[in-house]
Amino acid sequence: MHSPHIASHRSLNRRHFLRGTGAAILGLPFLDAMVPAFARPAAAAASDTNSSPKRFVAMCAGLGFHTPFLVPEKAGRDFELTPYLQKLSDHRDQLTVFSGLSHPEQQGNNGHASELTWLTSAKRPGLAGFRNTISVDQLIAEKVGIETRFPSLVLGTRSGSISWTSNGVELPAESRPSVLFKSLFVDGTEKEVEAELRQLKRGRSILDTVLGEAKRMESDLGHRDKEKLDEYLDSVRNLEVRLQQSEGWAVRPKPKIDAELPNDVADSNDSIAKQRLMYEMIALALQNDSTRTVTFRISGMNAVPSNITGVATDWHNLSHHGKDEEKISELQLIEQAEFEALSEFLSRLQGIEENGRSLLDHTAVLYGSNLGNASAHDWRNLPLLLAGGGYRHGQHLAHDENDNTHFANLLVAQAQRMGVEIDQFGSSTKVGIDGLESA
Amino acid sequence: MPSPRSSLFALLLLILPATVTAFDDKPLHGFFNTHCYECHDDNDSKGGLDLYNLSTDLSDPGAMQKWVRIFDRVAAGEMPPKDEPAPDAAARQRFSEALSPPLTEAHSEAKGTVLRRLNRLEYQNTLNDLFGTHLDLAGTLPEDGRSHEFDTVGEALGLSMIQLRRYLEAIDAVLDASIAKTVEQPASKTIKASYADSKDVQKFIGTQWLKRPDGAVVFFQDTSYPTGSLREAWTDNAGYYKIRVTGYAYQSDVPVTFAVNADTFARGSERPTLGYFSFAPGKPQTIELETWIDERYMVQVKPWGIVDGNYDIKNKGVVNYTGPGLAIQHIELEGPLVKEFPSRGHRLLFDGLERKEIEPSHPDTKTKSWYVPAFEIALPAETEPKATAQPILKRVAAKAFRRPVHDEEIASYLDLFESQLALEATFEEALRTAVSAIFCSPDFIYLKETPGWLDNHALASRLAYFLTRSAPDDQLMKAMESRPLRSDPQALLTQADRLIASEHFERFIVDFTDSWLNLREINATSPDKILFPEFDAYLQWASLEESRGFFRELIAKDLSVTNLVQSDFAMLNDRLAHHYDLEELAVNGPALRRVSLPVNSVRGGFLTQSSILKVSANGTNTSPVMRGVWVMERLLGETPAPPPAGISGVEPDIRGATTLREKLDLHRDSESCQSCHNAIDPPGFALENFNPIGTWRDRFRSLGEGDKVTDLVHGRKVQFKLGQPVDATGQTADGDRFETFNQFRALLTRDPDRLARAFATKLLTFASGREMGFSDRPEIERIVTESANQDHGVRNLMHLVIASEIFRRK
Repeated sequence: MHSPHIASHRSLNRRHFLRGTGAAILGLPFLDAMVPAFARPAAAAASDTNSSPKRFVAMCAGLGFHTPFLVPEKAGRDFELTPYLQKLSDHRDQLTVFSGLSHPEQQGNNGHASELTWLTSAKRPGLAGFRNTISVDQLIAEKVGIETRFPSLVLGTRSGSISWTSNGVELPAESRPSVLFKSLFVDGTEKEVEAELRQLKRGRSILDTVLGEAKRMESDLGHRDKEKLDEYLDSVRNLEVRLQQSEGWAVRPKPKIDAELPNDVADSNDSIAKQRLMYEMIALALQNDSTRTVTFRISGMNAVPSNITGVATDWHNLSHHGKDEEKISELQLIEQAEFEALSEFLSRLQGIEENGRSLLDHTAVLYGSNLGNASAHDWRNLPLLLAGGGYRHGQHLAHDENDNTHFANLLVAQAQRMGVEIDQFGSSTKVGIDGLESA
Repeated sequence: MPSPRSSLFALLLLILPATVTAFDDKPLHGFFNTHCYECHDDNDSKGGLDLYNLSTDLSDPGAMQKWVRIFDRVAAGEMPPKDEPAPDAAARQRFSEALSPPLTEAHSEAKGTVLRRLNRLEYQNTLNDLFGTHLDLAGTLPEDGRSHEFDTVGEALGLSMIQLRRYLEAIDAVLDASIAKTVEQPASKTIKASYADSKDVQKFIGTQWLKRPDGAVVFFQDTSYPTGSLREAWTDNAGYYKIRVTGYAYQSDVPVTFAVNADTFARGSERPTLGYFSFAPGKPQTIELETWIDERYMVQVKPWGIVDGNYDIKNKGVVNYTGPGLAIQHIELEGPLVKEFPSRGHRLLFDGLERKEIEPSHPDTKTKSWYVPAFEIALPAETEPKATAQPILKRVAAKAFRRPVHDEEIASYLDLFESQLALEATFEEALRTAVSAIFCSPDFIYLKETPGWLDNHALASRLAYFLTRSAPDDQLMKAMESRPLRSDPQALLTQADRLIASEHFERFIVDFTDSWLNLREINATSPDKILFPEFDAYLQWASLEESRGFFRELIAKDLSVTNLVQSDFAMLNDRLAHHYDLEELAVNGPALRRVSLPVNSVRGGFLTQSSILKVSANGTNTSPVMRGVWVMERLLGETPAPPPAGISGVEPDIRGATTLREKLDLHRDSESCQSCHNAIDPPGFALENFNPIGTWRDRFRSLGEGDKVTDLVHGRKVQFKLGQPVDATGQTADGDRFETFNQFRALLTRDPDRLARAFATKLLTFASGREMGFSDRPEIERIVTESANQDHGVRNLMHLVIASEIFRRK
C-alpha cells in the first residue's frame, strides 16, 4: 500500500496564510515552509516515487485527424501500427489509443461547435440556452493550482483555448512562447520586481474599489442581472487572490534553467514549428513544476502550413477533402508532421528523470480532437489517445462506433488521478474506461 | 463526493422560493392523443421529440424552445404531416389558444435584457472615442460569446478573471497613448519617394519594369516578385498617414486598377490592403488616402487585371511590349498625422490643471536627441489634492457611466486616489489609478437597465450602441437631459437620424452585417486554388464592399425589404462586374457604384452576392443544407432545429461521380428527416447554380471525373474539370415548385411581411441585447403591419424598431 499523497500536508497553504496576514507578508522574509513541497527541481527532491506530483496535459487539434490513418483495425494489445501510430512507434507501450468515444449531444450551432466542449462535455454547444461548464483542467487547477506559480497554463497556437471557467466563460490562451518563457523563468531586475509589485498592489487597490461598487450595484438588481454580476464579482475575487499570490511569487526567484529565451515562430503559417516550440515550453514548465495542469489548443489554419514538403493547399480546405485522394494525401503530410512533433514531446518527457521514473510517467497526456470526421463535421468517434501518467498502456481500447462510450468517463478518471474528489463530471456515466488501468 | 460548498448551495436552493414554472399541459393531451403520440411517444420520438417525457418546465430554455416549435408547427399546419389525418381548423385554433397563454406568460417573466457587458468592439470604440486613441483593444480581449449570430446578447457575454486583468492593462494602454509626452505637438514629416530612385528595385528596371523619360516606372502583369513595395516609403512609428500616389495608365485606352497595400519584412505579419484605385490614361494623376499604418511598414503598389498570357515581356523584352501598364511617378507618405493635441483623453483628465514640464537640472539636456520630458501637476498653494481631483473624477465618471453621477458615487474612487497619494504616488499617478478603476468598474463595463421602461440615459446608450457601436455623444446626452425621449419617440427618431448620418454609423453597417449575414466569416475559408482560380484578394475586398454598400444603399434610399432578396440594381466595380459576367455594363475602376441590372439577371439582392455565397460554403464545395440553413436563419428568421442526436451528416465527395444533392436524397428518405428538410433544403437547391466563390455554374467543377475545359483565368489554362450537371429545381415547404433560381426568388418576394418580420427581429435582437421570444410576437406583428403601410422601407423599419416598445423597455 502506497502512502497517501502528502504534498498538501507538508506545505503551508499559501492562500490561507496570505489571507490571514494581508499585505504585511511582503515585509516578511519568505518562510521556507511556504515553498511548496515540490516546487524544487526534481533532482533535489527525495527519491521517493510518491513524492512526485502528478501532472495533466490536454491537447486538442481543432481540425481533427483523418481517423483511418490513426485508429488501428485491431483492438487490444496486438494492434497494428497505422500511418500516424507509426510516428509514435517509440511510445507504443506508453500510450493507449481509444476509438468509439465521444460526448453525447454535440450537434451545435456550427460544425466546429464541439470544440467548445471537448474538456467540458456540456451538451448542444452554441444552441439556445447553452451555457458551457467548467473544463476538467480548471477543475483540477482549483484543486492543485495553489501549489505552483501558475495554477494552470492555458495555451494555444492562437488566442482561443479549450479551457472554461466555472461560469462557462472561455479563458484566452497564451500563444507566444517567448512571453510564456519570460513569465516562467526570467526574473526581472530589482527595479522591475519593485515595479511589478507596485503594479500588483495598485491592481488590488483598484479591485477593492470596484468590488465595493459592484456590491453597491448588486443591491438594486433583479434576479437574472444579479446572476450576471456574479460573474463580475467572482472575477474580481479570483483576480484579487491571483494578484496576491503573484505578489508572493514575484519576490521569489524563478527556477534557473539551462535554456535560452526562445524566439517566437515568425512565420504565422508554420504551425508545426509553433507546436514544437510550445511543446518545449510545456516540458520545461512541467519539469520545473511551474504548473501541473496544461491545456493546448492546436488550431488549424485557412492557409497553407509552411515547411511541409508536398503541401500546397490551404489546411482548412484540405480538412474538407470530400474524399478526394490527393487532398487526403496532402492532409496526411500535415497530420503526420503533427504526430512527429507529438512523439518528440513524449520523448522529451520520457527523457526527464524524476524520482527514479520519467516525467512522462508522472504526466498524463491527453491528445486528440473534437471532430471524428472533419470533412463531415462529425463529432462522434473522436480520435483520442492518452500517453504517460503511469497507466498500463500499449493497447487500443475499441468501443462501439455506433453507440459511443462517453468521453467524460475518461475525463472524470483524469480528475480523480489528479486528486479531485469527484466521481461524476459533465456527462460521465461512470469513472474511467474499462481496460485503462494504473501500472 | 460533493464539496461542502455545493451542498450548502443546494440547501439554499431548497429554501429559496421555487422558480420552477411547470405549466399544466393536460388541456393539450386530447390533441396529442389524436394527432401526435403515434410518432412522438417515448418509443418512436421521431425527430427527437418525445411528448410523453417533454419537460413542462418552461424556465428551461431547451424545453421552452421545443414547446414554441410545437406551437409554430401546429399553427402553420406543418404538423401533423400531410399524409396523416389533419385536425380541422377549429381544433388547431383550440390547441393554439390553450398553449399560447402559458408560453406568453413564461416568456414575459423570463425576458428583459440581462445586464449586458460591452462586447470587445463596443469596449474598444467607447475608449478610443472618449480618449482620441486608435488602439486595437479588441484584439487583446477574449472572444465574445454569441447567441445565435449576435455578439451583443447580454446572456451570452461572460466575464472571466483574465478578461478583467486585460481590462486593467487596456485602460493603462489607453492612458499611456492619450496623455501627452511632449510640450509641443509632435511634427509629422513627408517622405517623397520613387521606384526610379529606389536602390532595391533597380535590377527589375528594364527586365520586368519599364522606366520612362518622365521618371515614371511602369508595372505590367503582377508577378509576386518584385513585390511592388517601396522601401523608402517607410513608417518608423505607428499612426495615421496620408499616402499620395502619382501616376497614369500606360499604353491603355481604359483606366488601370491597382491596389495600395502596407507591406512589411516581418514574416507572417498581416499585410493589409489599404484600398483599390485606378489611373486613367493621359496626364499624371494623384490619388490620396488617409489610413492607420503600424510601425515598420512600407507602401506597396500592385496593378490588377493586366494579363500577359503569351509571356511577351519575357520573350520580346519590356521595351517592345505593347500591352497596358501602370506608370508610377512617385509616392508620398505624410505622417504620423496628429489629429488633436493634446488628445481628448488628455483634456478629459487635465483640463483646468497646470501640467508642467519638469525642467532638467542642466538646461542643455533639453536639446539632446534622447531627451524625454517629465511632467508634474502644479497645484496652487493651499489647494487640497482631493478637492482638485474630485471634479475631475466626477466628469470622467459621467463620461464612463454614460449618465450624470452623484458625489457619493465617486467617493470610493476619491478614496482610492487619496490612498495612492499616501503611498507616495504623484498627483498624476494617483489620478490615473482612480481613472483606471472607473473604467474597470461594473458601471462602465455593463449597460445597466432597470426593469420596465428604460430611463433616458439607458435609452440613449441603447440607441448609441445600436447605431454607432459606442457611448452616446455629447449631443445625444444633452438631448436626453433636455427632454424625456422615452415618452417622445419622435425626438428619439430625430436623434437616430442624426446618428445614422454620422461617420460612426459605418460601424453599425459592418458589425450588424458581420453578425446578421455572417460576413465576419469572410476569411474563414480560402477557396481551392485549382477549383476556383478566379479567386483573388481584390475579389474578397470587393465582395465585402458590395454587401456593405448594398445594405448602406437600402437604408439611405429607404428601399423595400424585398430588395434583400431581389433588387433591380447591384453595387458593382470592375472586379465584380467581371466576376458576375456583367461586362456589358462597362463598369470601370474599383469604386463601387449603383448599377442597374439587365432584366432577368440572377444578381441583385444578398442571396447571389459572392460574399454570401462564400460564407455559406466551405471553400471547396457547397451544401444545399448549409445554404438552406443560411437562408432560413438569416433572411427568413426561422432557426431550423439541429438534427436529432444520433444522426450524422452526409460526407461531401468532390471526386465528381455524384453530387451532394444525390447523396442527400438517399440520406433523408425517411419521413422524420423530411419534415424539417422539406423547409431547409429548397433555398439551398435554388442556390446550386452558384459555386463557393459566387460564380454561376451549370455543372459542378471536379478534381476527378469530368470533361476537360479550355478556359483561361488570369491568362492561364484552368486545371479543373466539369463534372455533374447542376439541379437547381425544387419545391418549397408550401408546395410551390421552382425550376430556376429566379423562380425561387420570386416566391420569396411574394411574402414581404415574412422578410420584414425576420429583418425587424434581427435588428431588435442586435439593438436590445436579448433574443426575441414568444411574448414579443404581438409587438413585432405591429411593426410589420405598420411597415407594410410604407412598402416595408428598410429605413422606415429601423425607425419602427427604434420607436417600438421592445426597444424602449429592458
